[in-house]
Amino acid sequence: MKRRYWFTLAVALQIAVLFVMMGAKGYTLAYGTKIYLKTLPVDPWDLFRGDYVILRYEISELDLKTVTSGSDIYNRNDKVYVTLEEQGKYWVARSVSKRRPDDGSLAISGTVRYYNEYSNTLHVIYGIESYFVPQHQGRSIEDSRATLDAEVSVDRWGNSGLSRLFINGEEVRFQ
Amino acid sequence: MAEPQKKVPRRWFKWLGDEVADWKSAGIIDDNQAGAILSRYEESAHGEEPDRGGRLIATIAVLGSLLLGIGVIIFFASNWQVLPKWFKVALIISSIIAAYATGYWLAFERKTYPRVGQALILLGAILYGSGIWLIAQIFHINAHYPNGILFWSLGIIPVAVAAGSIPILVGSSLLLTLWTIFEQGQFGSTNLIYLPLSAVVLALSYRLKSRTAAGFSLLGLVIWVAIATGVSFRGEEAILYIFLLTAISGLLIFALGRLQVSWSRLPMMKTPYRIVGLLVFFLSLYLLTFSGLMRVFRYNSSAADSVFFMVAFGIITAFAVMSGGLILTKAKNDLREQKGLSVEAALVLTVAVVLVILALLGPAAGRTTLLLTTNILLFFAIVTVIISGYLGREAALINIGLVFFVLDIIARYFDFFWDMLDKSLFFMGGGLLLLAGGFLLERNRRKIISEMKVKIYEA
Repeated sequence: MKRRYWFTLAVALQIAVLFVMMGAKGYTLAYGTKIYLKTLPVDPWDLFRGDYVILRYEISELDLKTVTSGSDIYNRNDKVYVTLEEQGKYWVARSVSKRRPDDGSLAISGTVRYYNEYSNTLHVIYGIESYFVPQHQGRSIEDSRATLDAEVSVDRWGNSGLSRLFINGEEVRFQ
Repeated sequence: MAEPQKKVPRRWFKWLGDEVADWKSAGIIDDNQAGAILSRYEESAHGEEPDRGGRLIATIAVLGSLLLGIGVIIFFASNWQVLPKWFKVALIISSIIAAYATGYWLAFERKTYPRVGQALILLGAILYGSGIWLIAQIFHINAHYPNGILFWSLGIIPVAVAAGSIPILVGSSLLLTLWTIFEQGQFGSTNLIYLPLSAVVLALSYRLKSRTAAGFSLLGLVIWVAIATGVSFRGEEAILYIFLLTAISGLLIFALGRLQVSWSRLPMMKTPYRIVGLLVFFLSLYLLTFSGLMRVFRYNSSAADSVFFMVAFGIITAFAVMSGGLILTKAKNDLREQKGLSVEAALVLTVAVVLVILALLGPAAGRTTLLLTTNILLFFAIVTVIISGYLGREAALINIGLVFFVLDIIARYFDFFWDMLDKSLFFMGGGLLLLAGGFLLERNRRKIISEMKVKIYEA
C-alpha cells in the first residue's frame, strides 16, 4: 500500500510538470500584452531544420548605437530585459538592461547569445524563435517570408509566447 | 565460532550437500567437519538462480515498450494538423496514466506479470518525455531546449524509486548526461548543478543495486569534467589537459572501486567502478601517446590559463592520492591480499605523481618528453594492472589490460614503421605481428585466467 501511495505521487508529479509547462505558457498567451513583431529574413538553408520555421526578429539584434544599454557589460547566457515601444503597427526595442524596468513599460526577457564588438550589436534570444508546422508544410511560409509578422504575447514578468504568424496580414493556419 | 552464513542458490546448496556426503563416506572429513561446512552456507530465500527465460521476457517487453513509445511520438508528429490542440494534450496525458496504471497493476497488484508490468511502467516514462516534447511543440516553446531533457530525467527518478525500476534509473542517468552535454557544449556553461543531480542518481543506483546505472553515472561525471575543461580553455591545448584530467579521474574511480569492497555493504557495486575507471583511464592515456595529437598544442599555454582545470585537477588528484594511501594502509593490514593491494597502490600513486608533473609542465615540456613520458606511463600502467588483476583475481582487469596492450602495439607499429617500410611490407609485417600476438595472448590469457580460477577455489 505504501508503494502504491508513492507511485501515484511520482506519476502525479510528472503530470504536474506537464501542466505547469502548459499553464505558464497559457497564462502568458492569455493575459499578456499582444504585440506585433517584424521578422527578419533568415538564411534559407537554415529555415527548415525538421518541421519548424526558425524566426528571427528585428529585436533579435540590438544595435546599441540606437538602443539605450546603460553601463551594463553583457556576456553570453546573461538574462536581459528589452523594453519595447509601439511604433505604428510594430513594437521596437527602446532600451536593454539586466534589471526589469519598474516604470510599468513593457519589457520582454531574453538571453544574450553574444555581443558583437565590431558592429556594437547585442544578439538576444527570447524563446519565441521556433514555429512548429505540420510535416513538409513549411514551404508556403518560406516562399512568403518577405512579409511575415508574428503575434507575440508578453506578460508583466517579461515572459513571452508566440501565438500566431501572419503572411501579408493573413493568419497562417493548418487544418 | 559463529561464521556469517553465506547465501547460495538452491542448486549450489544441493550440490554442496551431495559432495559433503560423498567426502564423508570417502573418509576425507568426519561428521563434525561435514556439519561445520554445511552450517557455513544457507539456501538463498527465493531461488536467485539465473533466470534466463525471465530475462528474455523482460528484454522483449522492454523492446516492445520502446517501439510503442517511438510509434506514439511519430504518430503525434505526423498527425499534427488533424488533431485539435487540447485533444492531443488529453490523449498524451491519458496514455501516460494508462501505461503507468496498467503497468503497476500487472507488476504489483496482480503480481502475475511483473516483467511486462515493469516494461509498461518504462513506457509511461518514455511517454512522459514525449509529452514534454509535444507540449513544447503545441506552444511553440523553444526557450533553452536542454531544460526539456532535464525535466524528463528528473521527472522519472521518483517513478524509478517507487517502482524499483532499473531501466528507468539507467534512462534517467543517460538523459542527465545528455542534458549536461547540450548545456555545456551548446551554451558554454560549467553547469555545476550536474554534480549534485548526478550524485543523487549514483546514490539511488546503490539503493536499487544497479551496476549499470552506477557505471553510466560515473561515466557521466567524467564527461562533465572533460567538457567543462574544454570550455574553460577555449583552445586546442585543452586536449592535453582534458585527457590528463580524465586520466586521473579514471584512476580515482578505479581506486575507489577497490575501496568499495571494504566500505560498502554491497561489494558487487565495485564492478562499475573498476570497469568504467579503468576504461576511462586507459583510453585517456592511450590518446595522449599519439604524436599527431601533440602537434596541435600552442607551446606558450599553461594549466594556469584555466582556473577550472587547476581546481578540478587539484581536487581529483588529492582524492586519488588519498585513495592510493588508503589502499596502501589496507595492504599492511590485509595479509592475504597484501601483494595485489601494494601493486595497486604503487600504480595509483606513481601515475598520480607523473600526471601532476605533466599538468604543471604542459606543452612547455616539449613534444618528445611528453610523448616519451605518456608512452612509458601507459606501458607501466598496463603491466601493473594485469599483475594486479592476477593477484587480486579480477579477470576484467586482465582482459582490459590486454586489450589496451594490443591497441598500444598497433598504434606504435603505425607510428614508427608507416614511413619507414614499403607499404606491402608494412601490412604483411603488421599482419604477422597481430597473428603471433593473438596466438601468444590467447594462450597466456587462458592460462592466467584458469590459474586464477584455481586460486579462487583455494581461497
